[in-house]
Amino acid sequence: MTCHSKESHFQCKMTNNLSGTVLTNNCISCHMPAFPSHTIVAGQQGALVHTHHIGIYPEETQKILAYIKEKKAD
Amino acid sequence: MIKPKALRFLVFLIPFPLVLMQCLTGSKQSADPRGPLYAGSVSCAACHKNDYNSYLHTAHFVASRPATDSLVQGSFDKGLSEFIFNPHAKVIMTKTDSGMYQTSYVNGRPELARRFDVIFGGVKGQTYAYWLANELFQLPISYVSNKHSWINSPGYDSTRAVFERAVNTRCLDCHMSYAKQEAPELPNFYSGIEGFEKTSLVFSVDCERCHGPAARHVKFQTDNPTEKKAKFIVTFNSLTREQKINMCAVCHSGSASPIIKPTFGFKPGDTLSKFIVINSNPVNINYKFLMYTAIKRRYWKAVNALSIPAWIALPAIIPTLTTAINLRCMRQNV
Repeated sequence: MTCHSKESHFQCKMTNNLSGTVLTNNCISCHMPAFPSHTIVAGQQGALVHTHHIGIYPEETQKILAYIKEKKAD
Repeated sequence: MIKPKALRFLVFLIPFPLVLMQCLTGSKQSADPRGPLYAGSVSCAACHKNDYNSYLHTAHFVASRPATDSLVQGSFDKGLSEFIFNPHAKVIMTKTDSGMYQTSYVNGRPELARRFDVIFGGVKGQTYAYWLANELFQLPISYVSNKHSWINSPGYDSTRAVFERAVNTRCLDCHMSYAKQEAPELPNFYSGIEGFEKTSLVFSVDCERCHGPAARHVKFQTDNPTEKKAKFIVTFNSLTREQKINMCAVCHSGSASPIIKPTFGFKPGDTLSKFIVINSNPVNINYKFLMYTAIKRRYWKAVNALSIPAWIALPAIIPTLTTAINLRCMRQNV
């Protein structure tokens, strides 16, 4: 978070959508999302493993946002 | 042609290395298989108790351990101790007096039983290895924590129990702290098969993997208990940024790079390129694809910002993007 600050212009685009604690504690949920592994397979499903290619994954962010919304509604 | 006089001189020199070896190993047997420069994690715990106790909860500590009942996370209970490949092939995990075993069955008949000798991991999952002569092999069944279940070991044939994957120095380099190589005892059909001296194994990724050999530090601080300034140990802060990254990258930079020599001997401050071949990773398709979408977005942003007409922007997109991606791949060595 010291590098990805407002001043550096590399700030998280979700800054205004999500609370500060969610943002600072859950970077990897969006930027290193967990995908089913092709090699670690339990039954028919691949075990979820976080990718190490840090990047912007818009679809995964949408999933997380939907999840948070659902949680709030509960 | 060696002159007789010189030969006599050489013969005279022979006892010297022997005497030196005696000094190093003879009188006081070094407790650590890595040699007298290493103190072993237990000596660190004597003073750095809190750090050591918190280290016991890390993935580094559970990277490898000798197999004991309580450490295997998978279930040995009836009904949960089987891994079924298909109606004809299965593996059953059992506990006996001589240890825990994985036994493969074909059409109900036991085929091969191998013992859990070494456990690798314990955070996200575990895999296991067995000894055959002085060689280590991966057992057919592993365990994955978030599914709480036994699984076929990663990459193994999904239709039958496989026992054949050799565990070599490249594996142990990051899952252990030391393993002394020796000539393989089994008849080998492939090149690159390695044997290990069983008593030489130092389990876990231990303190001295990252902090460097510490015997001298331990001796100095023990002899001078009032001296609170750390001597003869490299502090992480004293390293340059590149040295710090090198230290972690020994293991945390993917496993595709072949090793030049075992990285057990890598000390803080060393140069990684002397141990592993850097930049040998094949191009990662996912990563290229990600880069493509990111660059495409930027491309259209630039087109809009500079109000470039579509008849130039459209045909120019492919060559521009390809060049940009290749340049970036080259710069980032992927």
